[in-house]
Amino acid sequence: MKKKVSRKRNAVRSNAVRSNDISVRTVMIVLVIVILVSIASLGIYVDALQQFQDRMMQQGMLITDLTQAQGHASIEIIAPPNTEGDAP
Amino acid sequence: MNDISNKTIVILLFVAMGITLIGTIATISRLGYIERSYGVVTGALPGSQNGTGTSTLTVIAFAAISNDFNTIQFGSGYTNNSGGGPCVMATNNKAGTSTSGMIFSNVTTCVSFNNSNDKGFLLENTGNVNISVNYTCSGSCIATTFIGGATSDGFPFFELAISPKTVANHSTPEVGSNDTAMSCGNRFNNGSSGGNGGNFERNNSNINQSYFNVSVGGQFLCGSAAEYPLESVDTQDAFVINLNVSLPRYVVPGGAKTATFTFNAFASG
Repeated sequence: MKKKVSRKRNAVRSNAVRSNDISVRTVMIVLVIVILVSIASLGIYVDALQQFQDRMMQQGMLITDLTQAQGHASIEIIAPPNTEGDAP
Repeated sequence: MNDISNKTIVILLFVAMGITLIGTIATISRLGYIERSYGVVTGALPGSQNGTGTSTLTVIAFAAISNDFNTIQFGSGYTNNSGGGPCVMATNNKAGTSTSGMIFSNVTTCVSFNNSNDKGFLLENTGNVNISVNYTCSGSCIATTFIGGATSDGFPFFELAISPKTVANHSTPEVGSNDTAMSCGNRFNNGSSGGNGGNFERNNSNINQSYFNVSVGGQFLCGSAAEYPLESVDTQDAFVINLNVSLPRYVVPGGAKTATFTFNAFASG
């Protein structure tokens, strides 16, 4: 009998707490905002880091691999405008 | 354990967001601090307005190489099979039938290719120690992949040849002052077979020197893994790699092809 009364009291207290609580929808909205802010922060950081590295490179303060250099050669073979009768 | 209320969750989320923002701001301002602190290297005594002191500057030995002319564009074109022979395009004067621009052996066979480029790669020792230089290649590095099509009459060719800059008469300025003497001891790879160093020829004063095939694995161009003859002295620290692309009269059209050369500098120690 005592247990039943206790359960009822707990249920009433729980309902009272829930009625004062923030809705699940609000929690979800805040969660989405947090995720967006995190992504934006990461983007700002990566951008700032890239700019920082570029400036350091320009000032010659970041040593890249100086023992390598690259060169590029390119060509494109296209079809002649009129290939009639050109077969070997 | 009791469930956490939504209110508590929202508070925790705001705390997480605050930490994220503070972390980002702190990191970015730290980057700015590093740049402000080390942005200018003067050798001056730190925090000193007057008085004397000693600054020590140690110049370390370092190997470095630059390619001062790093793009060779043969352009887009086709071959006219009624021309008198194969289409040979070289960045030096090997073919010798033109006085300016890219050299064509057969103007009637080479149609609409780029003839404004008459320069090879210009490699320069920009470090302060003597070096040797080799290359590797990625992309379309052999004649049949760079030019495409089946071979006919011994063509196509995709080759390179090496000259001192003073011989190649390359007009591109160097990072340092321009060469006035032959580099690499006037001893470059000529592509012939031989033992270690045996395939390097002397008296390479003729620009029409030997061409040899470009390959993926590449090889040493100047010096070897044990010899470092490309000096760091500005007056003899550069050489030119000319390319020769020879197309048969009947060449199969293909897409744009690129060969990327990576030149490596080696120094003792």
